[in-house]
Amino acid sequence: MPAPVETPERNPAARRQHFRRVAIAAALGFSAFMALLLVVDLGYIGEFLLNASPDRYRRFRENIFVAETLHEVILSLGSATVTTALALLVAVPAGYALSRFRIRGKLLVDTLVDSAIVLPPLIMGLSLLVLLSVLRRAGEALGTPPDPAAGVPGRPNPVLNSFYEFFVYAKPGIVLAQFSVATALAVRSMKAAFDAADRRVEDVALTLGCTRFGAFWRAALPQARSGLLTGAVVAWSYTVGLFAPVAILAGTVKGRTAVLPTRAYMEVSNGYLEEALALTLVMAVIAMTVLIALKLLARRNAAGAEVSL
Amino acid sequence: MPKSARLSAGAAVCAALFLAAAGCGGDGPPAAGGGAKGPGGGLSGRIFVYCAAGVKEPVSALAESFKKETGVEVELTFANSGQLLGQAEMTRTGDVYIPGDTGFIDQARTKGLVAGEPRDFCWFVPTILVQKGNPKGIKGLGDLSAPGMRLALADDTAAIGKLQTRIFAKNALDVTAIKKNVVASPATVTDTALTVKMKTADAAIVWDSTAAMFAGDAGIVRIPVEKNVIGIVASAVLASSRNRPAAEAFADYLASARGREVLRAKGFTVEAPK
Repeated sequence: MPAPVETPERNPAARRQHFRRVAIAAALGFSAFMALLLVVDLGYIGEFLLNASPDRYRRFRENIFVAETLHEVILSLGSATVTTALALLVAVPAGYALSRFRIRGKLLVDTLVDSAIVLPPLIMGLSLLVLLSVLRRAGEALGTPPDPAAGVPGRPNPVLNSFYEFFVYAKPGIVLAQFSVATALAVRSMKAAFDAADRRVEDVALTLGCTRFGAFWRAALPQARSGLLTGAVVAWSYTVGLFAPVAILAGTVKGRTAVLPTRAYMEVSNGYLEEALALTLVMAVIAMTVLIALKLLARRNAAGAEVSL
Repeated sequence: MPKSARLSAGAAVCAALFLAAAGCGGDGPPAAGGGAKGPGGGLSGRIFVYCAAGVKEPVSALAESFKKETGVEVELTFANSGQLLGQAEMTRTGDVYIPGDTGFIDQARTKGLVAGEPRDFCWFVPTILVQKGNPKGIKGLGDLSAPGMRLALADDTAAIGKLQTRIFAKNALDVTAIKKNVVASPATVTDTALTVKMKTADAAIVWDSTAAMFAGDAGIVRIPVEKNVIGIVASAVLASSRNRPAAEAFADYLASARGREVLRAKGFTVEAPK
């Protein structure tokens, strides 16, 4: 019988190498695809700027290089950051609870969290609008009724009414719309992170006299650090480009509630594709810079981090 | 812990940026603007206007000049006409509704959202856009079905696309022959006009205001009114308005001589075509 031939398929070391190349090709392939999209957009705008008539160019300039664009960039980044912070504030304990504790009807609780991701974003915004409108109507029903004889208008219940006044067509509405979707995504990644963390470390901590909170804070959370980063990255990047629920709940008022994605959409619906693409590219560059900074910060933290009891 | 200190410093910077953008205060809901009388024509406060994305350009220009003249802050929120109707119905908030088509105002009226009569202020007149100097000698709708004519007709989902179909039916044109000549069906009226400018099409049907935008690079062949189907843009004051005097004034302003000047300068048709 001849000796088996050493083909790459049979040689485990070579097979590992082979798989390594395939895996890296997949990662590089998809990121190259995204880079291609951005470069093609850039080329499209470049070609447009070279060929644009003076009038058309003026319209582009007057809609891109203005204070409102800066306002929209800041509002987009700011609202996404506030939203992410709020989402993590809820998602860290919620993800921990879903991962560790026995909760009655946990399957239902867990699935209700998912429903925020399943619902189309526009419907999510509409549902929030419905909720706030119902609250206001309840406020009107519970408030002082109008007195037509004395000409005194009715006064709604101030507490119920204030929700509506605070969120609808106002900046807090942007955060509320974003928060409703982003929190679900953050809870998912926090639960996965706590599921992957080693419970025994917590058990040891408890045995050594830690409180339940102490075990969470000093044993579970440090292990879930990468999940925290994932949650933050997913929530932030999803939020920063969110359009539909923001537009319906907060409106798209220039200089007040317009964020970059809503502006870009308006430009598309008016036939100004170049303005929309330019705004989107600005957003992409800024968002990628923020994400890179976040990842570098996390990497530096991870280098010096050990579970400390 | 230095790590959390760094993180909270970052969070503080972000929060500060957000507050800066939020403009700290003065951010109450639009309806709280109130209708108190003030200097400058006796109007003040602000009004919240639902404006169809398709008429964003002229209405934005008019909102600015209205503010200069009266001091009333006009907040425009843009979306498609249907979503705006939904928002107005759900929130029972807002002062003026300006959809892209008057059909939506009728719908709003049946829902009891409209106060008073809507005011027409702008007419979207379909026009034939031809290449500069009209090298193909196009005189009217009848030439669109001529063999070898390269046409750009906007997609049916665009407002102009819906009207052009009605124009063909109204004039009993040979739709099969016209469809054969179509070389592009862009999604927006602006892109449709662009094909003629770029000379990839010989003719296109666009709004008169779009044609005006391309006046330097293309020629215009008008469609006689009796053969045309014209789109009307109107504004309606909403029953929910809490600043009724300012809302009425803005609706009037859109249709006023002053408003017409602004619209005309942008190439819009401001008198009902006869």
